Amino acid sequence: MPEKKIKPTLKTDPVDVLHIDYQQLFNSLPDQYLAFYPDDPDFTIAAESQAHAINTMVTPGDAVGKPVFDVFPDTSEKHIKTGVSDFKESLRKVIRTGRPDIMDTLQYDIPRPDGTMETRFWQLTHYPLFDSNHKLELLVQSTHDVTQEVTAGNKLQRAEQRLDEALEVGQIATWSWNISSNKIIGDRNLALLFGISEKDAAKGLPLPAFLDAIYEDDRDRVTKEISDVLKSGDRYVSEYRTVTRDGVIRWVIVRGRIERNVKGEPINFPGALVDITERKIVENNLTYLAKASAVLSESLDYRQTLQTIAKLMVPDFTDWCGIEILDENNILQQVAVAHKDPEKVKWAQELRRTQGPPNLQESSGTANVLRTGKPEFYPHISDELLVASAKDKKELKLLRDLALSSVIIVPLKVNNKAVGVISLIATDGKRDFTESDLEMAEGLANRASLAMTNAALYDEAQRELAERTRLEEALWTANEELESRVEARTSELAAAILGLQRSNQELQDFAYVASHDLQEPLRKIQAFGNLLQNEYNDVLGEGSDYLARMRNAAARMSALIEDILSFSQVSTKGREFIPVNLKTVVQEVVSDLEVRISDTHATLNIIDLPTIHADPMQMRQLLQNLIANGIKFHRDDAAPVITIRASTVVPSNDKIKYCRLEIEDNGLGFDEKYLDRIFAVFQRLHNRDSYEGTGIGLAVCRKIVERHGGTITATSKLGKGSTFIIMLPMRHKKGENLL
Amino acid sequence: MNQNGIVILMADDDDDDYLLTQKAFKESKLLNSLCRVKDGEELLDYLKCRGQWAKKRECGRPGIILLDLNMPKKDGREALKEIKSDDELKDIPVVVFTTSKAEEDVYKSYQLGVNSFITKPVTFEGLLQVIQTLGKYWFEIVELPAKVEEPSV
Repeated sequence: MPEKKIKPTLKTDPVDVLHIDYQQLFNSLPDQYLAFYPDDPDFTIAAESQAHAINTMVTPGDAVGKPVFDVFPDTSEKHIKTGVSDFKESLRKVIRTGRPDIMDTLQYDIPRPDGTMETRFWQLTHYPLFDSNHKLELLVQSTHDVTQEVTAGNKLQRAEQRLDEALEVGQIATWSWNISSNKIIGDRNLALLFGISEKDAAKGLPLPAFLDAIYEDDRDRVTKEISDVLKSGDRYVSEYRTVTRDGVIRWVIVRGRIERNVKGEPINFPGALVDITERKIVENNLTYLAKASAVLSESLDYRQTLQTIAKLMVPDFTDWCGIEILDENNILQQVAVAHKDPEKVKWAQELRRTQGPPNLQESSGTANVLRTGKPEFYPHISDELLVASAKDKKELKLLRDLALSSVIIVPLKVNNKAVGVISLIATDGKRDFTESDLEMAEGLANRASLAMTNAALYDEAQRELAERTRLEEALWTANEELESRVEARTSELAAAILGLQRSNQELQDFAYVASHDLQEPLRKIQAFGNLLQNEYNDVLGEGSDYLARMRNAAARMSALIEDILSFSQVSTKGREFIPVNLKTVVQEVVSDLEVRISDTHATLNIIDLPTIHADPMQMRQLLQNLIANGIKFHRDDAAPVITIRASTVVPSNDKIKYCRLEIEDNGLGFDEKYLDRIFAVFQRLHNRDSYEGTGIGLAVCRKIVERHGGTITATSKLGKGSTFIIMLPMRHKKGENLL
Repeated sequence: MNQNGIVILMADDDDDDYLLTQKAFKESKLLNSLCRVKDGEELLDYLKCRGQWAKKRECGRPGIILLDLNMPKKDGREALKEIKSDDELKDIPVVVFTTSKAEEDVYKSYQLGVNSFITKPVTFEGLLQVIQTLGKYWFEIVELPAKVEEPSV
């Protein structure tokens, strides 16, 4: 490297005679120096001390003659971003002002021989060097490498930071209690938690100062705990609440250690405590929910239950708890209000009485919750908010007096419809409700809603049950009444039947006796008439005729009486219906009428006849009458032919099966205009002399048919023949033939 | 008196009927000793030799009783019952001879042990026929129990 000797360009050179080699001088200085030519914008390095070269990892002599940024580029962010180099600015400042410039500690990384950058911190001072004419000749840099100090310092700072962070995040507070001097020294967190100044905490305060900050409900217990552990114990663990300066309640868990001397006297009591308020809130909320659930499931009297729940909430969870429910007229009624102080409860109730229920048209608060079915949550209520929401000065005063600082309003829903609200109010800023609290309140409202729905359903079920029971009882009573009436009726009917049966029997007996007694004189008339005829015929002369007419009359009377008896006996001597084979009956009739049939050369055609439910005797009577008629009323020119046929019929307006009997003859026939007459009692279409008979035959037939619940009619053509048509039910229900 | 000397005792309250029956018997040439009592009481008195027949019975013990059912004081049904339950009298055949055709009378009579039941015909001819048949049956065809001696007074 060619050495460039620095030649001082002094106009006058008093010490010329010295012939000092500045380079050599510069080189041997133990400190680190750089020199720059001032009129060089690139700030070419004029000289460097050997110490500098060594420290900056540059081969001595290499840097000289090069622009400073060639050797030591400014890699600071500022230079890279803006092109401005603080380093060069400092040099320029010296040029400008002619005064030295002391740079703040700056980070100026330098290249290693391998090209990588090494982090360095410097304290740089730049001096101007003037010649004898006061012209700036050189810029000299005094370089102080403070890298080690800085890094060491950073490490400490970071450690401290981390500790602080840890302390803050864990909200750990620490203390140390020197028992002999009765001074408890605490850190910042402790001071915060106990509402004392940091300064006092650092200085140390006696125990009472800290005890005062403990929440009054816990104070006595903690005092005793501490005195107990001081007496005998080496570890202290406890949980209690403190009240900060802002009046906020915090939960803490405390651990401490007792250090004793050889005599066993406590000397030191250091410890730490952790703020567990959030956790405690969550824990408590779960407990509240559990308790609330228990209360809710106990009783179906939801009003009482809600009051119990409201009471459950104060004073630990909140200062005020109010529950309001819509009544049948859609007016919000206060069902429960709770506060630790009974006087305040009374005040609240009185307020409600005088103010009345809230206006449900309001855009916020209870009305809004009811409308939307969504909760409202005001974690922290400032005075501004009170001013904004108060309707008038009176209300504002009221709100301020209440000192509400945190509010949760949650809806109570039955069948998904909001029917009420639970309001939780904290006052005096003692605590601000958290999201966890809102969750708890919603959970509570849900359970209460469920309980109310259940209660409503239970009520409904009870009512329905009561209604049903009532209906059942009414039905039962009606039924019993009906039964007794039916019973009465049945006995009436039974009695009536009995009566009728008896009267029937009497009638029957009467009819029988009457006819019997009536027949008796007739028999005498006939008998003696007969004898008279036989024994005195020759002397009677015309008297014979008179006698014959008398006998005839008597005979007719006898027949009439018999027929009357027979007619009356259709009902009185009627028998039970049993299966009767009609074919068999006809065959019996035919055999009975054998004589008449053979006399008239009558032919009978019997086409399949069924078995029906009937009175066998009466069927006999019926068929006998009809067949006899068929034979009797035959035409002169034709031997009687009688056809009997049957078919099964179900009439459209009836559901019973009928047997349709047809007795067809080829006899005289009759004019159908006399149809009704022929079935009447003692009605005849021919005179006495033409055909024997009283004219009761068909009347009896009709009575028999009617007794069987059937019908009889006929069709006929004068001179051709007649067909008698009978409808008889195939079957009868039991008891149909009681009479 | 018939060939066998059997007495026919007729119990009938009706004089006309008795007259006719008598006539019929006569015409049937059944010259039995036809005795008559007017009602059930007389019948039993006669049979038991009581009352007016305590001392003597004109016809003696009857071989057959013709019994009408409808009689005053004691009717035929009662008399029948008594006769057939009396050891001394039950062997006497009883023929009910009544105007009644009632099935119940027929049934009850046979139940009580009547030997036959005949309904009095309406006409005289009929009556004659019945009496003739009756005579033939009971006196020619049928064996009657042996006559018991008259109890001496």
